[in-house]
Amino acid sequence: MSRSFSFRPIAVGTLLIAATAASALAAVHSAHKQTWSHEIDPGGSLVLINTAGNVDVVGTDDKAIKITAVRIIRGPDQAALADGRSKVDIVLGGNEQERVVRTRERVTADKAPRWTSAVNYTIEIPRTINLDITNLYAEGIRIREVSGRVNLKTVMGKIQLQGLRGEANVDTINGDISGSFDRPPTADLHFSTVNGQIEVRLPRSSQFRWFAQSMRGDILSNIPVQAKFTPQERSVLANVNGSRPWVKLETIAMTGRVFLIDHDQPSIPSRSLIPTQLQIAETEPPSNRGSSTEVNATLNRIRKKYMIQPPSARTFARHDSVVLEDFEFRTTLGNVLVGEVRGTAKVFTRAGEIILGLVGGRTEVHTGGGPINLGDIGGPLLARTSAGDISIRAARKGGDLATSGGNVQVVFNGGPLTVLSGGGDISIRHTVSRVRAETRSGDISINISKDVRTEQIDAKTIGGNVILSVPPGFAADVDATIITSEESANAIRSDLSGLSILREKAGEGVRIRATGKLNGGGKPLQLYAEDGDIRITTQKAP
Amino acid sequence: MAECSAVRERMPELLVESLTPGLREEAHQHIEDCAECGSEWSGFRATWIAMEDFPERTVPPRVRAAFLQQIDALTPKPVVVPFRQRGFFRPLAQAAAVVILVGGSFVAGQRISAPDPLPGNPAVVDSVQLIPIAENRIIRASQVNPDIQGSPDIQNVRFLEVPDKNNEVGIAFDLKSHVTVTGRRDDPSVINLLSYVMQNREHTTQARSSAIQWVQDNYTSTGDADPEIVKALANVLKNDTHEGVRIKAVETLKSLPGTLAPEARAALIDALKNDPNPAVRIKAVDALANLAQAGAPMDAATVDTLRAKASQDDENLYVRVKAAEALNQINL
Repeated sequence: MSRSFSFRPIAVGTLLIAATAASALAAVHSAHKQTWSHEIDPGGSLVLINTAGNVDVVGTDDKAIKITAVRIIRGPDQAALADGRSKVDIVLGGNEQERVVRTRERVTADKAPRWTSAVNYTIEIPRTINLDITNLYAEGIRIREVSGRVNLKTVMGKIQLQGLRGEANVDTINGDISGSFDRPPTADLHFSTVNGQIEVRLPRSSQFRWFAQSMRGDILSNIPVQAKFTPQERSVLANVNGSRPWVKLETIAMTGRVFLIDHDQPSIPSRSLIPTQLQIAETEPPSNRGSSTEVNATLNRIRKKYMIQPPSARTFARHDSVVLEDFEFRTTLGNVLVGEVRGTAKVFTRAGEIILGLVGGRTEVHTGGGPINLGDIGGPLLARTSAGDISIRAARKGGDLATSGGNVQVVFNGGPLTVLSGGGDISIRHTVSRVRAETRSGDISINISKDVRTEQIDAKTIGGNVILSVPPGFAADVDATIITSEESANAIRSDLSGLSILREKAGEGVRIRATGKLNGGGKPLQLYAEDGDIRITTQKAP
Repeated sequence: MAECSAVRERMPELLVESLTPGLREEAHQHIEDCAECGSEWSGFRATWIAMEDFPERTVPPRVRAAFLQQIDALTPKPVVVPFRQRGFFRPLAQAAAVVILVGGSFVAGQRISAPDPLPGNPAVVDSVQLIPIAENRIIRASQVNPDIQGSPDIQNVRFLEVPDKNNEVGIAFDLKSHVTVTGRRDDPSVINLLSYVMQNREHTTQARSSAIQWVQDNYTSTGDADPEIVKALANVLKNDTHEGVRIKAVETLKSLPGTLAPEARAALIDALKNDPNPAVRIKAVDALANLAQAGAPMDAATVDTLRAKASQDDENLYVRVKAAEALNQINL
């Protein structure tokens, strides 16, 4: 006891000192400032290529470019800083028509450096020259008072544009774009961001043709515009202040919002240009979305109880744990999660995953793209996706399932079932009812439950195998066909006797057809496979 | 001279002892009397014997299939044949194969001076010798376990006499035998076997799909995935014509732990750009999003592809959203 009592404070103290020292060392950095000045033609161009760092460009009446670059290296120790300094430099090139400034990092792909670098540029340019900037990562990029053409590409960082007079093409991935113009634009402006938002401030009297698009966000304006909305693209098109404007403004934000604001009266409230009925996902009250804890709890509960595939989505435009009555929900974009619906369910999303744990009645789900993941469906089922897998634990009354591309898996089917896939495997693990399954490319496997004596099955694949598992006493009138380019490559095989095989040429390939009655004959069993096998296997007798 | 010509034409049949006794006697008589034909015959036999020592070349499956197809086309067939279960054992083949069966296939090409009988059924091979899994092999009878275990399926049996080798015969056949290879998950042989089954399009799609599913079930929870497996999955994703198999491959790549190899990342990008099946593209973009979320560095090609996808008007909206989400994970 006494030894540990005396040792602990020392150990803790040592650790604290070591941690403090380590954190101090980890913060080591160096900054090195350089300046250059070069003549350039009034109609010339400046090309800047930088990996990381802020950029501030301002147009002046001077005839030269003045570049100030601050190179910052960060690393855990002085050796790392020295290494970084030796491997990051700034290269200037070009001539009076085109000046090129490039940050060069000499690192090899197989060995990650122990340092990070950023170069912040402050550049003064003659306002008439053109700018071509590629700056991948930044906290901010600002370009002011330039009348030449501006091309800017970034991955992240807030972009501020002020007083531009010429054409501008600005593309970013995760950055916001803010453009402020105190005069009406006289050249085309194109702004696009994937995950940021766009705000453009223009004089109210500006004349331009405006195209704005946002797949997930809103499109708003406080300048009165007569906009035409296209729901499929989630875009608006408007001629602002004129019937035939010749200047174009394009503002495209994939997930963020787009604002068009009166430069002189920015405080006037903006109005959405997207019809109210298409704003469900955005205007859904927060209480209906659920906290991440609630969502996870619901997901875990229904996954254990009902699901055969783990849900991939974690955020939902709509989240309900239990709905006691009928449930209907439409959204333009978003995943939909509902734990239980005691009545009927009708869900539509233009893009997103649909997850329903238990539905007591008729179920219709439709997504423009994304997986459909359903648990126990008590009523007839209609499920369609334009792209993605369909997983159903139990379709007790059967239904229609369709995907333009993806696997379809049904663990239990209790009613007439139609399954169509534009490409992917179809697996019906237990069925007690009629099944029609068709895929453009993929295997079809159907397992008929052991108590079924005869049932109609249609299975067709244009590229793949058909595997049918039947109980020992299963009776059927079989018509099975395979089309194959090489006769020896594919075959029809059956554990049950009673089939005759016919081989004949079919175009460039061979058609092999097996017909006959299994166990004295029964309902039709139509199987078709191109470039694949057909196998009829029997289950073990109970 | 006419007799010389006739005897020389018959030499191949003489070599394999397929001439009638009368003709054989005549031929041998002539060869003994005629120096030129005697010399020809000696050369013929020497060549035949030397051929035995030539290494067996594996015939590429497609060449073999094309050849068989040509042969098949020349062979008249009944239009309708009765459909019967496979797997009947052929007594003749069994009798003939007494000296060669299962153990022989395992120890093919190896020199085992004193083979021990393998225990029980199924055969379990624990030899220190490496066992080849090959398409063709020649083995000596002394290397074969005399016990035939189970009912191996023997097809296409041919019987050969070996000239100038006292009482030696050859029995050639196709043997379909069930082999179980056991080993650690990371054993190179296990890995290579899995990679082979996943990639070989001569196998049924179900075999390929099952192999990929098995990899997904067994290789996603333990450390970094073996590079060979990742490479094989990338090849499947890029080259397999079967959409169901490609979907499985991309799902498995998505679930593999660790930073993906360049081949896998390239295959994902290629799939995202070009795969006609939207489900494959969705899973590819999901996999790239997972990578970004895990903090893996995103190279310019990946970022460009994701950016292009997010902005592609005619792409499925879900793919576009997923691409945007993946880009949103990029950190400095």
